[in-house]
Amino acid sequence: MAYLALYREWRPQTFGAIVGQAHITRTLQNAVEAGRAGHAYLFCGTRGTGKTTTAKVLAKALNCAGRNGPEPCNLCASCKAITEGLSVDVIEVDAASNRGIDEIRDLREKVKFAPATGQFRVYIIDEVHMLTNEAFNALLKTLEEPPRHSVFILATTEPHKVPLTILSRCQRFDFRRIAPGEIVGRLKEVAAGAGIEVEEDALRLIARAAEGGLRDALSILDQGAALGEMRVTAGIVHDILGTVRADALSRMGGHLAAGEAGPALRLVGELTGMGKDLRIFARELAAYLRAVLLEKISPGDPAGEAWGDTSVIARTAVEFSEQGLIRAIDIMAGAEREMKWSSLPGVILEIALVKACRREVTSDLSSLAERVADIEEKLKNFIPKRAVETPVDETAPLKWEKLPGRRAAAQDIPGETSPLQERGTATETAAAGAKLRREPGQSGGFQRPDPVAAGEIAEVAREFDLDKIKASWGNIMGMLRKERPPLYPNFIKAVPLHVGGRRLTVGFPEGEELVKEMAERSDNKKYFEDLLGKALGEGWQVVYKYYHGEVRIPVIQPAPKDDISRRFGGGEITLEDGSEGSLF
Amino acid sequence: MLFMREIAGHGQIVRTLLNAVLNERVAHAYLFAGPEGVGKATTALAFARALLCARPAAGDACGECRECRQVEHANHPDFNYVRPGGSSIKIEQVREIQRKVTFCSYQGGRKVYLIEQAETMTAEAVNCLLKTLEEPPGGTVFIMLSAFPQALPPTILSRCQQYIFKPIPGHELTSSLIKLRGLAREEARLLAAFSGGSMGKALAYATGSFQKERAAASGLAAALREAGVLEALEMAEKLSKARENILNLLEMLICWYRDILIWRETGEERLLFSPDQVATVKREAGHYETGRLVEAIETIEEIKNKIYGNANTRLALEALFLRLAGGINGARTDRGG
Repeated sequence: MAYLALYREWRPQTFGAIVGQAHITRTLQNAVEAGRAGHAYLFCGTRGTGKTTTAKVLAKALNCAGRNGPEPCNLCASCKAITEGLSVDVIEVDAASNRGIDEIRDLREKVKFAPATGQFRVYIIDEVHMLTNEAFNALLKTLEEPPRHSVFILATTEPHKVPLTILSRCQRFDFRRIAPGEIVGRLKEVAAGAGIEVEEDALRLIARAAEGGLRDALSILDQGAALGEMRVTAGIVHDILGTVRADALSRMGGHLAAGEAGPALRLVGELTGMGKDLRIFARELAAYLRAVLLEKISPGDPAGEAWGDTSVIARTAVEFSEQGLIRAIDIMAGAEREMKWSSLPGVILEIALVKACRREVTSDLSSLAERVADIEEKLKNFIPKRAVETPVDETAPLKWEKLPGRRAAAQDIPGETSPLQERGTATETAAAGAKLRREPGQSGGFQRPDPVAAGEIAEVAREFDLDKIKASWGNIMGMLRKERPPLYPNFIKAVPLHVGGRRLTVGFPEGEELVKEMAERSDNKKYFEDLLGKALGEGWQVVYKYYHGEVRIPVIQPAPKDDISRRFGGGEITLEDGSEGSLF
Repeated sequence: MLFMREIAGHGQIVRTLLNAVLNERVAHAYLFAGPEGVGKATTALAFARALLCARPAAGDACGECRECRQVEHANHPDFNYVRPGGSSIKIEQVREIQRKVTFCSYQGGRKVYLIEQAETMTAEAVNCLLKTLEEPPGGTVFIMLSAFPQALPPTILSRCQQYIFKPIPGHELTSSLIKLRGLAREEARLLAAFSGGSMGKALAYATGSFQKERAAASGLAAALREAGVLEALEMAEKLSKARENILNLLEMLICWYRDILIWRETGEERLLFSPDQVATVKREAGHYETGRLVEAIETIEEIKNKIYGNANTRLALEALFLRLAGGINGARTDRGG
């Protein structure tokens, strides 16, 4: 007889041999033993979990002549015929090939015939989700009340494609994915029976790669036996699966955690040199990072065990920030998806790794969020103190540490988060932000009474936010009104929209072309820029744009009350009616 | 037609298959998965011949018996080659397979069904094949080829022994290019790097005007760096008119930017696709930031896919070049401000 693949040769022939589906086999065994078998069953679950196998065993158990207890004997004529697929009473229908109404009508015609030898006629309708709608409907009445001697077993991987009217007529059994431990156990049995030597590590790898499908696992074992001449080692399994050893993954995890793009790219170069499929590597890496994430969220999670040494995963988990980890998984998952269809998968992987390592290179929300989280973390220690000091001088962060409160805070937080360092980085950030905008001699501000004392860097960084401009907008308009009365009406509805460096975007309501044109005339524009210069310091550029809908137009504001009281340190004085005379 | 033992770069797969023939452990369903042009079809044909050979030696075909010659001339009655009829493999084709599977073999040996581009099977066809694929009559062997195995349902995958054809390692590809085409070592190494381990691609490059293409790509990158809006649009117009295979050029462009990026990040010559251009790469690297390079490569990839999906070439190129020209040298400082 020709060689049979392991998964066919070792197809379980009794309920007891079916792995990982005790909730189903127990039920069926009890039903068989009590003689209470239903007339329609639906078996569903992912590939390789035992649907067809269970259906065949059930068929045998129902028809077995020498049955003692719930298990089929596998010795009687009926059992043997079923095993070989020769029985006339067990009809296996491939619903995906015979999916039309005509085939179902034909089946209905034959249902009424009594079984030839056994007690039941069993119809195993496999891949039932592929039946056409008409075929399903043609089956309904038969399925509800079939002749006493017939049993239907429907099997499918996609129960959601089966109509509800079919579902409600069947006893439904959901087959679970088989746990890695159970797969390993079964693989050991099969390997021992088939005379294959297998390493423990190899078994674990196979079980992980099989993702709950025992048939997948046996296929890999089969392949390993062919390659390794009946000796299967972990190396052979890696070769077959195209996967890399866990240490390559943990090394890559370490590089990502440390944000080292260079070594990560070098590792990719190494893998390419070994002829590894980078698509598979990307998938593995995403799965590995997921295990790290689980470890990070709930330390000691058993998911990590599939990857061998859990201490490595735990170490990587510590090196990563949670945000960074999630971002890395996102990026790798995206890269894996893209690599599937790209003609340059290697380049996609390299780009993804650079992105994962260097969060500053992308401007997407997640990396920004991560950077903001970093800054928040750094600022956390400052905010409460700052609220206390605000009345003294809000704009002078350089002075904070001179106050006793700051020093106390510094002692509270040992090590790397000392405020001195913190201030250093914060100022650097501010400086970097301001670098582009700063021009010599322009650090002075319109509303800054004492910019130098306030600290030049912080000053420049703060100088030109939109709120400031809005606050002085009234003044500017006032000046405009005085100096160029004919131009002023054009600016009545103008609002400052956006500031970047010394570049101010001024908006006009949509549809006011004439007004905008007027403002855009080069002499008027020049004038307005000069005007801004007078009000806010030299070097302004103006861009005009339209805005939609309503934008709040800043009104001419007198200096706000609380601002004055802050600057002069005074409180509010209420004057009594008629007391004017006495005051002056 | 190659013998199994002559196949380059897949030693481990070949060994497994030879062992299977030798030890009578031939499975009934194989899936050869891997990128285009790495040798799936070549291996499958050689394997089919070995399976059908009347006098196999050490698992490989003898190449002399009637069976071997029949396979070589594509007229072996038990060797069925199924390829997409049109853009997909349809259920009728699978039904035809099922019909034939039930017959005995004509010449008494095995029956081999080679299904090319298996991922193009329609959902009906795939499902129709499932039962047959799981338990075909004795002596039937299915060999399925696919560059996109992830497009096949898991129910098919789990029924097959899957062989993953990896990209051929650089040095093996180099030496077989030298052997096959008599190329100079330097050139062979270059082609091997650019082909990403695909023999088919390397051979196509070897016959085509590879050097010229690559020079065009690096020239384009340099020009774009300097270009303003007008120049960018002009380039797009010129290219969309002049070039038939714009996708190739875009791939080269990706490779070029990739080299610059790799140099910036690692500074290692051996990781580059174009180690012979290292001086230029080094010079160019100073002009770019990592972020811009990443963005550039992603943009090109995106536009490439759009052109592949039949977008208007000229418009797509214009959009691409405008983004590259304006953005890549950091002119877009006010972006998102």
